[in-house]
Amino acid sequence: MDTVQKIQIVFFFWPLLLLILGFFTGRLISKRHLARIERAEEDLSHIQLWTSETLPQALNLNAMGDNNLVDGNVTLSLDVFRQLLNAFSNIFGRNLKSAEELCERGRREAIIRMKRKAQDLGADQILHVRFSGYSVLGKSGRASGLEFLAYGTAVKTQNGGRYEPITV
Amino acid sequence: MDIILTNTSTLPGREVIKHLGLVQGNTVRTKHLGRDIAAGFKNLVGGELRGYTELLGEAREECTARMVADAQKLGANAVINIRYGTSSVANGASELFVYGTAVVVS
Repeated sequence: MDTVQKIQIVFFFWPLLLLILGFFTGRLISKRHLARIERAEEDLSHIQLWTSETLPQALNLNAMGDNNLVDGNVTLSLDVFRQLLNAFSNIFGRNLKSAEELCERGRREAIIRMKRKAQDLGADQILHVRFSGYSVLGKSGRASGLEFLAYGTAVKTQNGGRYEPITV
Repeated sequence: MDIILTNTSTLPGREVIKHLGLVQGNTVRTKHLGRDIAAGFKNLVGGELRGYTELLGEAREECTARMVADAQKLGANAVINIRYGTSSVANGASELFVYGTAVVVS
């Protein structure tokens, strides 16, 4: 096989090579990201999240002062192999496992970034947590990335976040 | 003058004295070409598109600043019930908006 033939083969198969590359890197990146998320979640587990606006009475609140709106955002994308696979699986209609997992990672990462900001402020609770998101469009108009946003109001409790039911 | 920002409808330990109405801020941003190319490569292998994370974060800070300016013009010292939203304006351009209720609190 001479050099010209080798170059021809590479040119012919490069989309396939990209797909194979995407298959492995996508899996590796997702695994490592999940591991990072789990470590960070353990570090930040002292900050509690609430979707309610107020805490149970027993938690005595201290407003933290001027700016206690905290948010965290992250933009993630799937690799080219899984994008293609998902495009095809629309025909049969099934759960897109890779996309489900991407959304889970995105939301957890957004929460972690929000919690870090709350930690910097010295908060131990985040109230009224809301999620929002955005689909970043690629050049050809297809969704090439998804943004995940989490935001809430960081507050401090006087008893360090312990829940003590009121005895009447 | 600093302004209190919160997405809850009440402020712990403070009382709403005066209601000043809805305030909002928005930004429309297009993507940076350099970041787009970098994101295109990242899109092949998957993972975080850091350029976009930063871009959207900055845009959100900017529209929050505009909302705060709007609130200060009304003489508010707090904005409560803040919500974030996004919409797609044109191909590649995105609008980020934030809105809330401007109030005076004790």
